[in-house]
Amino acid sequence: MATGSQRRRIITSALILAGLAVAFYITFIVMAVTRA
Amino acid sequence: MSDTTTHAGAHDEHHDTPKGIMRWLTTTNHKDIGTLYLLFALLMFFVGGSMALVIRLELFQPGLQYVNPEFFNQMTTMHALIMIFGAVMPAFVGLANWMIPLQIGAPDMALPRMNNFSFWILPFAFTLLLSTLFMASGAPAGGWTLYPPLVQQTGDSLPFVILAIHLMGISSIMGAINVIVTIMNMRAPGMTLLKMPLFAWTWLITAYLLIAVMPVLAGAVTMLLTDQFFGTTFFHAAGGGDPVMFQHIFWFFGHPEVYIMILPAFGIVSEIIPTFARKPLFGYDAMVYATASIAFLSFIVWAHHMFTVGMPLAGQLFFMFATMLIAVPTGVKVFNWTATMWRGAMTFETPMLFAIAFLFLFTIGGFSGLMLAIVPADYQYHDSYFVVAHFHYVLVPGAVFAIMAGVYYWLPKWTGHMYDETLGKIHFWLSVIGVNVTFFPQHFLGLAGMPRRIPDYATQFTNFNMMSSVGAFIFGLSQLMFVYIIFKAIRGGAKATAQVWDAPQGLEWTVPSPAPHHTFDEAPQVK
Repeated sequence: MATGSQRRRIITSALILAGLAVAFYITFIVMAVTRA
Repeated sequence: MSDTTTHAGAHDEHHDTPKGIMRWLTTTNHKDIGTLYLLFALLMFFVGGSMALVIRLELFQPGLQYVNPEFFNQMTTMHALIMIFGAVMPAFVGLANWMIPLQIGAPDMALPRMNNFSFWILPFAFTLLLSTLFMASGAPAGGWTLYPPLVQQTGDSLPFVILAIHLMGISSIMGAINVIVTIMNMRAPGMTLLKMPLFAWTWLITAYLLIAVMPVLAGAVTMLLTDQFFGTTFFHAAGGGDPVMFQHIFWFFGHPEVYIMILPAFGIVSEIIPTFARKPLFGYDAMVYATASIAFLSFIVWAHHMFTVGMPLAGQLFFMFATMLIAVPTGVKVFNWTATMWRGAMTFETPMLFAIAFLFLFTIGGFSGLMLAIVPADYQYHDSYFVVAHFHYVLVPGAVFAIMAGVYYWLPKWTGHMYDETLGKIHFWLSVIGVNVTFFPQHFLGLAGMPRRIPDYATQFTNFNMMSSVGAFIFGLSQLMFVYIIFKAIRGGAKATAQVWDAPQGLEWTVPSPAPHHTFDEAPQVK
């Protein structure tokens, strides 16, 4: 079972990765809109 | 102190596991979820496989015999979508769920509830996808690449397909986040990254690929949806859009996707060959760096799928040379596997047979890939059966054989029983013969000019098509043996020891067989 600091690391890294995924999704649509 | 309390409470809760269907619906155990993924993949392998047999049945002889062309095209499209997203990817995620925590000495995946959610999305996604077969407008028929404007003839079932793809993408991204977070945060003390088993390494890199490219596919299909129903013209030339832009976006996802389906296979083979050669893996560090190099290169080669759209010469040259460059790290791997076997005390149990077949046959697929990378040659091969032969060599004796090798290798650890070795070997030989009889003649068909995705063909192509269809039925039917062997081992058989094989390396072999429901509650020390 994860300790407190380990749990914080797990949640932070999961959120960063999820944020990256959302950022990639938005980036590609914006690139298509602007035809960059 | 509060941590200790939570620990004890959660621990007790685990022993109060629900029974029956609720156990599987609500499970947060990595082994249960791994099993669910693997069973789902097996089911989809048969659904997608039966579609392949419809295709091969129709192509057994020229003319239209069994299905109409529209349905034939639905079969090619659905076969690909189901095999890629429903069979190969979930099988690898299932193996990751089962084996990564065991290999790195973690008690479970880092985010167990999300793990449950990412699996249970899949049955809904595939029900949605398969339901399009029963809709008035039929299933998508424009190929799994979903190129506009062709795919926009799909009609009212298109939004169902797009929602299904979004769901599969969300599931994959959640699975990938779980793998990365688990590996980065939950390795046993002493297990540095460069001591990690290669299966875990290849999966770590694959998970990054997934997070980078699944959103790109989601973006592409969202734009297809708005083009179809909300009046946008991303890909409509008439409104100032560009259909070729879809191909660029799609293949920016699609090429790394190819590596998503092969890197974990490299990992499995890198586990199996050392065990049965009774030698440590040759060039471990080089294997890790080669995997990372392949992953990097996979992002800069996408346009080799679309050389014929009319791109500038500089673009063609760049994508041609970048593609050829992938042969270097891939070659490093092939030579390292060979060097691992060199002067090893080899035995040829079923996992090793599949791993060696992988080595030979994946290399054939790799070489035909190099041929396709050459721009002037690709103008001849493009959209021909040569391409079909190429990617099936990479995916069937490549990815699928590696999955089968992994299943045979770890099945005794999962079930506590040895599988039937004689039946396993018969399954191997029927599969290897079936695969080659199916796909090798397709090279000749492509070189002779037979286009892909057609339900009928000129009579000169008849002989090789007949061979290919016979091979497909041998391969397809022999997979029933695979199911029989698996369920026979689940039900009973010779008891497996904790080590299972003769001195395999890795933490997974230190726990009893079958692996208990909870492992590594106390983290092991890795030296």
